[in-house]
Amino acid sequence: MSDSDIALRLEGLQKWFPITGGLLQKTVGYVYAVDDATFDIKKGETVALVGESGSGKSTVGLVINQLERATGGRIFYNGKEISNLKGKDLNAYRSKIQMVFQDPQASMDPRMRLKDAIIEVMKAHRIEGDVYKKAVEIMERVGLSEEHLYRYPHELSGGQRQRAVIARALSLNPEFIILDEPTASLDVSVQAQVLELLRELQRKYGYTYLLITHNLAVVRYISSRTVVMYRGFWVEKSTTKRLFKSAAHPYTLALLSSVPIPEPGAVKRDIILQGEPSNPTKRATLCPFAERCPLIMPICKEKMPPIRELEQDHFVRCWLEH
Amino acid sequence: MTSTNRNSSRTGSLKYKEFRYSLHLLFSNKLVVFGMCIVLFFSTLAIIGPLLVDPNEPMNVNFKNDLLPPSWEHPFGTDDLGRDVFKLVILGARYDLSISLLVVAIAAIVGIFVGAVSGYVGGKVDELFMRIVDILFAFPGLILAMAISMVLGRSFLNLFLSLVLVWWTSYARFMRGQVLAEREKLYVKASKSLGLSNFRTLFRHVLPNAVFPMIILATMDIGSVMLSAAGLSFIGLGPSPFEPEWGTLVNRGAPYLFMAPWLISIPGVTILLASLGFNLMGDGIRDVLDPRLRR
Amino acid sequence: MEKVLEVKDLSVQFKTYRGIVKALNGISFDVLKGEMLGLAGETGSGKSVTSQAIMRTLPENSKIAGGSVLFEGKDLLKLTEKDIEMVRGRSITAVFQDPHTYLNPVFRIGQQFKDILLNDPAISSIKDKKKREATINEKMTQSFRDVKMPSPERIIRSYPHELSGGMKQRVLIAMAFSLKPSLIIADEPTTALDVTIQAQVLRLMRELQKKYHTSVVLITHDLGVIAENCDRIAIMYAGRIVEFGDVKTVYAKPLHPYTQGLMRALPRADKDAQIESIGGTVPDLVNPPKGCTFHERCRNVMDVCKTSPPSPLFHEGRIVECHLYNEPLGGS
Repeated sequence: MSDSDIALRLEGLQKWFPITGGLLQKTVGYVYAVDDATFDIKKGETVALVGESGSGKSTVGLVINQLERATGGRIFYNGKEISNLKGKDLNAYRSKIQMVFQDPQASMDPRMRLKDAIIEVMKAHRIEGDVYKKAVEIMERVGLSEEHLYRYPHELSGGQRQRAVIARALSLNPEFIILDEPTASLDVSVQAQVLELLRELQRKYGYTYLLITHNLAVVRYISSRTVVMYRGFWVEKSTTKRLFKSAAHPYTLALLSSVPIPEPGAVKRDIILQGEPSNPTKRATLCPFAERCPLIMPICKEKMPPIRELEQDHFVRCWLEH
Repeated sequence: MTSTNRNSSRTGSLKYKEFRYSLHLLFSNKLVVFGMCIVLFFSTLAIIGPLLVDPNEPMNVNFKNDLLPPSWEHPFGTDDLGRDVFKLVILGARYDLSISLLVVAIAAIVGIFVGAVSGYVGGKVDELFMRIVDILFAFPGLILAMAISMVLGRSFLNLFLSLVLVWWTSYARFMRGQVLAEREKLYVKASKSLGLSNFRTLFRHVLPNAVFPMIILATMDIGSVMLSAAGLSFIGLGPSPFEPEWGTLVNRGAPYLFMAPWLISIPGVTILLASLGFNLMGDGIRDVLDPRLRR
Repeated sequence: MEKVLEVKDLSVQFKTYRGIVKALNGISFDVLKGEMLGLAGETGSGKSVTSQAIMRTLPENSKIAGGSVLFEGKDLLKLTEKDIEMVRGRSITAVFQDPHTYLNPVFRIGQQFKDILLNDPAISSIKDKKKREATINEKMTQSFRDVKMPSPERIIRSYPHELSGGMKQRVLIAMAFSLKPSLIIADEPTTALDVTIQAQVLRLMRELQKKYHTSVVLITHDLGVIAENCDRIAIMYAGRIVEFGDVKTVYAKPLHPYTQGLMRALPRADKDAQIESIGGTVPDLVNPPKGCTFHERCRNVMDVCKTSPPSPLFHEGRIVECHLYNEPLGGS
């Protein structure tokens, strides 16, 4: 894979949120939200970032968008380091990278018609030409019509609202879209509409997606590669096909076997994890998953596991020999 | 496109229905209607009062007529300077209504501005503003207002200033809380990720959403400001006796409590009625505007 | 088999400023002894309203427009407020989606659990205070063991905020099973949980349900959860039950076009599958469409669907509400 194909590269990305306490608001500790996120996203592909709450997957999205500044590690976009961008450069970068949040209702100003919300964004980025005409065009792109421009967010159905949020993101002609649980608040039938739309948009306009989700079924449907995170560390990454067929990390296996399959009597592996992820205020010095791992070995309690390449483009952070 | 057209007419009629329902809520409560009638009555007096009666009545001193009891000629009697109390009360509406509306308006504007900056900017600015608010808050409102107007001296303007100084703090605090809550909402994060500037986000998104509840607070406040203004004038910190503010009238009448009880009771009841009207109306508006109180 | 609960022709309406929302329009189903019944549906289908109607916890602006809910031979809808309180929390208990809001943050878990146990006359009638406390403690410890809590004594003394989401949901399940009710209504019990925790909690519920032979109505939007846990399934759409039957047959061969659409819309984690969405949106229940409520989105729509609503039909061992299957309802 040549470097020019790579849209986004994360190298050892870290994000620690300080915990302040006491009268003087001194930093008394950190929430180690992300401790090692390392992966590449190729132009025009969809990479899924999978994990449970507390895995740090959403924080990775915020850091990529520079809504949060990284504590450590590096982020490259089209080969350029972006962690230190400011002012105009940051704005230019942000117009290339857009974000769609989980809750479409909450991510829109309740007192603004779609028209004003979309045109405001285009104007803020000094997009030339007839912005209204562009807004109509974008609405049609996401399967809405001109008439919807005159609605307030609460006047739309859940699916239409998520389409509107996507439209707003598209209004800046982005190259890269971060989708943070884009369908988690939607019903099955509507989720399918949004997923179909996202796929079609990618096919037509070549957007690159980073899909952040806990829903493995959605991952399998839409993504070409998958990164699994646990408590701030990536633990396994590979192509989606390979990961679903021959996952290696015990956590990935457990995740896969926890997904309820809509087929009564379906045969599946039976791994039910015990316990819950521990508090992220302690920094992991060993394998972060050791606390719940059903296949734990003595060495897991001694040293941080190595990163192994099992096959081309299939990496795992685990002591198990595969 | 037929389906979307139908949808639009549906939302159109929905808005209309919601509006009608709000009106229905407002008018279905008899107390609220009563309050609105009172407010309407006094507002009318404040506007056309000087056309109904001679606006120079406060200057119309005539010691020959002093302390006359109510009669056909003087329905509310006359005061110690021989002025017709009926006319004075009518002329007073303009003073009392304008001071309460002005105090609330200015206090709200100042408070909203300070609270918004404090909440959105945070840090040292926030610390400074909120400590000032805390200091002002530490004194009982009326006593602080008394102190201020005593220092400034007796006048309509000073009465207004002292009340604003006391009142803006509660708006600042409330607004700060609103902004803090609003700032955490996802759409603010979303507009940042869309590359909108801080300034724009504050003025176009955070403020309009945070200001809304302040309107409710303001309508509920008019009545209490009116009471406080009258109270201050009653203890002699209001405008001069030649400005027929209701509290001042009560103050003028106090020495004649037993000789001429109408001097104190009629302006007193007027104050009570007017502030009651505003309070009832404020309650009604809150019920309509605050969806959480809806069923 | 013995029926624990029988809902007949239940209709519920809500009064709002937009008009009357017809949330439930004559739904009928039954729950057998010891079975887990899945109630599936999307937002606004009326699945939660159904549970509220059974528990008689509907909000004030609602009205039961007709029907009956038979439980242990009594119509729950006709009971006085006092009598329903004897049923609710004792013979019928509930597990909710959000344990954070259900547990009171200012009381210790033990205190809240005790209040529930005191619903049981067998416990509240113990006169001797010491003996009563001891019985309660023993019951609590037993219940927490049932849900595999490592140290019951510690849980009893903790406040809700000291427990994780999964732990709280276990506490709720322990509470729900503690009085050995004949029916438990679980409204989206695992929706707020992560998948690995969801798997733990669901397994636990199923074990307890088998152990005590309790009937459970599991309300969820997740068809996977129902497939793995339930015996029968009722699919709701716009305030009606459109398909009702054995889980295996319904999933293997869904009859109602809506059920078929749902199955096609599901992305799968276990195999590569294409998905197909159902066009359109759920109807407005203030002005529901004439005829079948699904006809505007149905790919098999016929003329009759636009004018007359279908009635429940018995077809291939299950009940389906669709004009495509016009055999008359037999027996029952």
